[in-house]
Amino acid sequence: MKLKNLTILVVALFSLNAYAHDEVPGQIAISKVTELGVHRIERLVTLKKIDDTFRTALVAMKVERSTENGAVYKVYGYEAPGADGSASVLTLWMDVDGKTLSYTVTPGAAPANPAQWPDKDAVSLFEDGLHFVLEGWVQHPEVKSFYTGLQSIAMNQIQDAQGQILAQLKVTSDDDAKTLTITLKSDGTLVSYDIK
Amino acid sequence: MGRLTVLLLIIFGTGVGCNSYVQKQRSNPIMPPSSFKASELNFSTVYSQVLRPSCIGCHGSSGGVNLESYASVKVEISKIYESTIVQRKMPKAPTESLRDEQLGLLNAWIEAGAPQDSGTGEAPMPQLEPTFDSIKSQILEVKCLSCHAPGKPVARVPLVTREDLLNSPLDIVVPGSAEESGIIIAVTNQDPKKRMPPAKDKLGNDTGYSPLSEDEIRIISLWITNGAKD
Repeated sequence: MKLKNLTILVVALFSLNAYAHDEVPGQIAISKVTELGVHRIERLVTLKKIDDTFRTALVAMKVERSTENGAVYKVYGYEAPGADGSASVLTLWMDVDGKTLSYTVTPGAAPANPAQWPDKDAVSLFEDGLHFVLEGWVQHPEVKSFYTGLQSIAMNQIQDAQGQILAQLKVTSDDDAKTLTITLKSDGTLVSYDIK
Repeated sequence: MGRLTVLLLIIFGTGVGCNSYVQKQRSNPIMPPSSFKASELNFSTVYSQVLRPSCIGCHGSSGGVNLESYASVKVEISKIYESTIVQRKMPKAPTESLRDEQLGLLNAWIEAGAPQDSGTGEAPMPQLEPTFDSIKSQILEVKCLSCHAPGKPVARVPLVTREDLLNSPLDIVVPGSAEESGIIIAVTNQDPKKRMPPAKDKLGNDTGYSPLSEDEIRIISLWITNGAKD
């Protein structure tokens, strides 16, 4: 009887572990959708369908679930604000696999004082930050809630004690009350991360 | 004293013997037998079985040792033997080590004098054609799959199957539109940091990967323009 109970317990524990993460079976993680959104921004710029400032002056992205336009996700990309405080916004409607179905640009003023990046451009730095979320949670389990529930990611430029330019990306999540801060060098390599 | 001398002699003798064995192994490495007949030992076979899948990705036109032609390979034959057969240093990661049959073939061909042809009408050098199979064997396997495959550094963007290319949310291939296809955008990117295959790795070291040639880009574009059906 004891062995039977123990067997049931072990099976139950393994079953729980199999569903330990909060992803919906058959759907990609929302952080992956955001990463695909970044790639789509770069593609639209390359194809000259949207302005190059979305590549160089991207400062934030937001993602949410949606049923508009036949989509499953809606991703927003924000440029740095213009002199009047307004900013251009790119909206992407994406399907369950993260494929873009449609997009639109809500124009704002041209970025007034966008950060100048000496090595990789802004969109590439967003990509590197999101790669850390997508892949880093395996080695750093505390990052997982940002992998499963990413809500927004915003980037600003800072300098270290030696005056070296760094990218600081702040990530929020529906699955975590805290904020993940990822710090990258301007070539995209990881410097540090913390969750507060 | 007598016992100590004997012990020292034994230790010394063992050391000399081991070193001699290691040197002998290095100069006469144990080679897997080649399954190819002598009449099949020619450059075309070695190129298709060994050089193209395992070497050309790095040793193309990148500026280092070029192994794309018989003439350039013949000039480097001693170095190839030393680095590949004797020291087993090549190919370097992320390219996988040569399989036994590749080692056997390469060794047999070099020992036969590295002939260009075998005098029996060997198979012609493979031509690149606008089909997925041809593009995969002559481009993707050579320059892409060491990273873009399951278990590899960029497994999140696999390029192994035709479905990987056609069904990717990254629009790697947009049938009918080469200019909108991610693969063409990537291999023709004017930004050296974004061009594929990358010239430098994350640490800034040269990868040795050659950019795609104009002909390779043209063939992939043609395949896509034709609908990427096969």
